Amino acid sequence: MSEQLRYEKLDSSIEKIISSGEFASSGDEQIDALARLASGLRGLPSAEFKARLAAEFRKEGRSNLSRVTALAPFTWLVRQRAFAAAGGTCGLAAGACCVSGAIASVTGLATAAAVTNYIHSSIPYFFGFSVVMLLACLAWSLRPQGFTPRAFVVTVRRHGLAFGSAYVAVFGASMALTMAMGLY
Amino acid sequence: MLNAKQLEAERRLIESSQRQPRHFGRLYDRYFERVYGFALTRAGDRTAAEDITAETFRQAFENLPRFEWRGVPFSAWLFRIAANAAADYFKRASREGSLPEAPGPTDDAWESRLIEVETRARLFELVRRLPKEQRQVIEMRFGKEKSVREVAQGMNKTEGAVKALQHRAIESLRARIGDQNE
Repeated sequence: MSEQLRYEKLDSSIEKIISSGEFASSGDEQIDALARLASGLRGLPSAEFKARLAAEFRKEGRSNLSRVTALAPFTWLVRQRAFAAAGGTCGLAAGACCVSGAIASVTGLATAAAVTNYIHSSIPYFFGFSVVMLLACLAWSLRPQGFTPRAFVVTVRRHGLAFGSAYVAVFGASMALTMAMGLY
Repeated sequence: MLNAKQLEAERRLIESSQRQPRHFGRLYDRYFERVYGFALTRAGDRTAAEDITAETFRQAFENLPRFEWRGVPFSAWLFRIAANAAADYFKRASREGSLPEAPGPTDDAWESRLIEVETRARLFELVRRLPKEQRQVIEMRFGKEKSVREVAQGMNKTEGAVKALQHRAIESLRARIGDQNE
């Protein structure tokens, strides 16, 4: 078969692939092998589409927001968000007596003296409850790795800072609130 | 399957993109064909594949700071995003009544088609390495779905010359695919 005829036969097979998506045998084994491979090229991405999308990311990559979100403290915080949220919730549990006392005082449900008494007497219980919650969270995060000393050390080293800082920040803020209001 | 050295290089590239978003372009270049190939195999339609690919990379770009390296190829994470983007695409198209045909196979059947995706992506990558004129012919024929006559006009060549270039390009791709498989 002449070269010209082979080109024609392959082109005819390709035309069918492009128009109908179907591969039809030409009766020539070698041409069919090439046409089969060509059928994998159907839907080839256009160079313009690839370049247009790449340009979008180049532009985004230079934006200020992307620079901020790529900063190490931000990425660290994003990765630790579950532990920070758990620590914050425990901190809120510890400071719940302070927050509820402050609300009662502001809304006039209780006098300042009664609120002070309530906070003084109940804070150890709330604090104790938050410690139980902290231990429960620790157990929950240790569960997949098993309750081994090594897993404990690794978990505390990886997530202790996020967990502890969120706990201290929320509990500290609730106490600071009552102190600022002269209730504690 | 990536070896330990390739996985380490991938980890470094991801961490570099997390620190410097402008480096995301390198990840994009590395995975574009695979994500597009995945989207095309899933959707079976160029427009849908382009939408899904764009959405996948947008989400990957947004969520990259949250990505945690666990020694699994980055493509697995991208394919998961692409699978969700494809599901969203079909839901949206179905709501708008513009879905011409049923979406691709179910998730279970999909697993077995990953080899098809990899082969297709490798073919797309090899097209980029063809000599300039052969690449132009293939891109115009398959990427823009132009006829031989239109390609010939665009390249200022005869139709016979375009058919010869097309034949040589596909033969060359076949040889390169064969070399990679050996």
